[in-house]
Amino acid sequence: MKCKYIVVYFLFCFITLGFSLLWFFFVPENYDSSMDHIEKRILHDKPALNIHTALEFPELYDAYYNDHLPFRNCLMNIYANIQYSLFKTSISDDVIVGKDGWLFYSKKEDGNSLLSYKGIDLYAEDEMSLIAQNLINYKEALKKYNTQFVVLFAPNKESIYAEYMPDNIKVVTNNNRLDALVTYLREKTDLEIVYPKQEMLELKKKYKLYYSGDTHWNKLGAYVASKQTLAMLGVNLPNIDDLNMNIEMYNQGDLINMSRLVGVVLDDYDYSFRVSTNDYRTVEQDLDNYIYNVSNCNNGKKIMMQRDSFATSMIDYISPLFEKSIFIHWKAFDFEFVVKEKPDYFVLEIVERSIPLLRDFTIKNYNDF
Amino acid sequence: MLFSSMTFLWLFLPFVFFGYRLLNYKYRNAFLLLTSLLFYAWGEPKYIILMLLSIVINYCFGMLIEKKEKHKRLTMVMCVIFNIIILGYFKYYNLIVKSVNALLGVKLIETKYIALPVGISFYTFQILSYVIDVYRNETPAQTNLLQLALYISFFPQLIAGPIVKYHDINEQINNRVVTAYDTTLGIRRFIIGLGKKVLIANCMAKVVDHIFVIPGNELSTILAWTGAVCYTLQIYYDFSGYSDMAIGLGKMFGFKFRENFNYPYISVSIQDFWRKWHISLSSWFKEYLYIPLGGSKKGKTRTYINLVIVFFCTGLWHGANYTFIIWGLYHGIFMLLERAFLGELLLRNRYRMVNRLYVVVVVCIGWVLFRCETIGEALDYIATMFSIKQPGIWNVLEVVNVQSIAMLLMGILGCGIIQRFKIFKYGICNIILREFAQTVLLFFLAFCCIISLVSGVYNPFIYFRF
Repeated sequence: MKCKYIVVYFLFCFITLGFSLLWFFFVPENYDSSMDHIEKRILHDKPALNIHTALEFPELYDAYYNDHLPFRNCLMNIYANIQYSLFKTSISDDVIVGKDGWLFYSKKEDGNSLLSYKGIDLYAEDEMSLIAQNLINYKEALKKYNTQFVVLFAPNKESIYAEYMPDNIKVVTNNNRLDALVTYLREKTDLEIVYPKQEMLELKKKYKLYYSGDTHWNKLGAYVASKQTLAMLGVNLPNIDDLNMNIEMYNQGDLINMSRLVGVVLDDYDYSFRVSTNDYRTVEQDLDNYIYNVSNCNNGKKIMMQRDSFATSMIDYISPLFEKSIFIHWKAFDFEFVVKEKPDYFVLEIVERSIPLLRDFTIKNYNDF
Repeated sequence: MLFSSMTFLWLFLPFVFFGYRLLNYKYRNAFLLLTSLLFYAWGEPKYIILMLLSIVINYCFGMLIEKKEKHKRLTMVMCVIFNIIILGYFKYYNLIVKSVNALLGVKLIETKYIALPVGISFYTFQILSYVIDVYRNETPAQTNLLQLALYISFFPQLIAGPIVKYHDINEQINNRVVTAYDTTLGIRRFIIGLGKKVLIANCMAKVVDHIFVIPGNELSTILAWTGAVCYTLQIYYDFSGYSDMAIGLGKMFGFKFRENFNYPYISVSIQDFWRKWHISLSSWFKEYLYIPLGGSKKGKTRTYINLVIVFFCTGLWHGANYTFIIWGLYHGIFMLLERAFLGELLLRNRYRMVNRLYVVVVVCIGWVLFRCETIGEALDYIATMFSIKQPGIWNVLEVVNVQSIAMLLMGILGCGIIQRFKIFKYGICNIILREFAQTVLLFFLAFCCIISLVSGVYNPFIYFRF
């Protein structure tokens, strides 16, 4: 057979069989290629083929095979690197690649924060009124337990670091729906609102407040939010300029994982500092859903926080200042916790992109409480 | 199963390719038939029975048509009606019901959900090609059920064409040789087709899907044209890429399918366009509908009527929606105009670029009709294309990123422009070096396709309505 035919045959063998053969012969059987922790989902198991599963088997097998392809992670990482280096895009459609290695989150089904950045998803008056009423109802329900109610709004990263968003994304109006909502709530209700955006916009000139490769604020950003929140509760934290901070490198993040750019997007950092002389320990925990901390602060006060992932980095600043502190994720929260624990303070923390949740924010049968 | 899926590329294809070559010649057709049925059943586990029944019934019809000389025509007509009814039920039931209800002004019949079996339009037309060829004595009826089944269900062209006419392939079913030359050509063709589909078409699809959901009042003129141009490229590279893969796969097993696309976007008239776009479909309609209706041999008026009928059917074949019918008739109107006077003007025009621009604009607008869900939506979109609407909420560069621009440029150049320059033929004189460069490029292309596919790139095939 001519040489050129052999070469093409080899090419065909490589693209159809090559990866499978290399995997079979050279990768150990017990090699764990699972990347569940990066993809944040459970990969499909191999389906069984029997008379009951015959009709669904092809679809299930395709899903399983796609999740367990030979060299899957390696090939995906190569693709992700090419996308990022050549085209400045992310392998994930939910991640926007900004300037200087900054990544931003923009999943349509999860708040669609891109629309907020563009200023085109403003709330109508009746929507803001509905949210206000829902929060007031919650406050009333908590009042029965003499619980002080504070609402903390965590800004989206692009609301603070808009200068790192790519220039091709057009800002249609400078109106921000959360700004408008906060103004509405402050003017029309007596709710205690914490919205650290303005302070963050000032402080960012001097300090970095959000991770560049993660959706969340860093420890200092969390500290700013914690300081303002605790001030509402009558607890004062030191000013940022008075903190004794160390800088530590931080080259990870949820957006880096989603974009498969681990080790590619670098030059991020965080701060480490200690605020309180008190210590705390976790006495009960259910992953990230429920955290019950106790500290050696003997003020007899209990704080409860209904939160999302932004509050995780606030725990270090809040827990030492209360005898008991309970942090419950939105997805696991039930008003029964309030009934059982009767906290002195209740903080509702929610990130900007999740504000639509407040439209349906009610306690089921709250009159019963 | 899709050609651009990992299950096909890494499991099915190597199994069939090497299994075919290891088998004794007399078992190869049976092997191809079994693997083709597996291929179809993988994507349509419920409707494989429908296809098998259709094959058996049409096999019987074929034998009857040949044997029953007296009632030959009646048998053929019954067979055609039977196949049209099957296709009509699964594909056009709801369209017919909606039309009847609209005509009567009352909801007389309820629509219902009917899953469309993948490839039914393609294999139905192949079956019709068979029975009509038998009726016309162009070919004897196939006495071997397995061979007829192979013709109808052969996996390279089963779900997205090209539509292979029976008289083009019947000899090859019994008598074909697999050569190393054809196999390597087939492999190359397959990889190029895969590249067209995965790298260009899928990239364009992302842009198109973003633009076509933008509400009319937020859509600017420039975005509308961007969407139309990207869809023009998407549909071409998607479909021609799939045809390239089908033709390449056919070659790997010794079959020679006719070409389905011949750089239609550099056509010089709409008539020329339809000689180069989806050639298997247009030639099917020409052979089995246009010519039996009289073609152009029964006077001008009758010719125009025949053209309208053919293009009505062409539009209808593409989908069960009024937009497809309007699209077909839209092309039919231009065919009539060119027949009447426009064709002469185009022929006499020295500046071929003007002709090509005319074709591109007409076709581009037609694709908007094709893409939109409703006629109203399509008309609004086209109106935006021809008005001066300032950029609204969406910036073009927000929707079309660097990668999309690169694929857009490659797509435009690959429509026939770059092929005219024959870079490899004239750029590299040394044959060995030329072959080497082509193979290296093919390898690079294949690797890019694999990493793109593995990364789960958005990958629906738009013609799977059919």
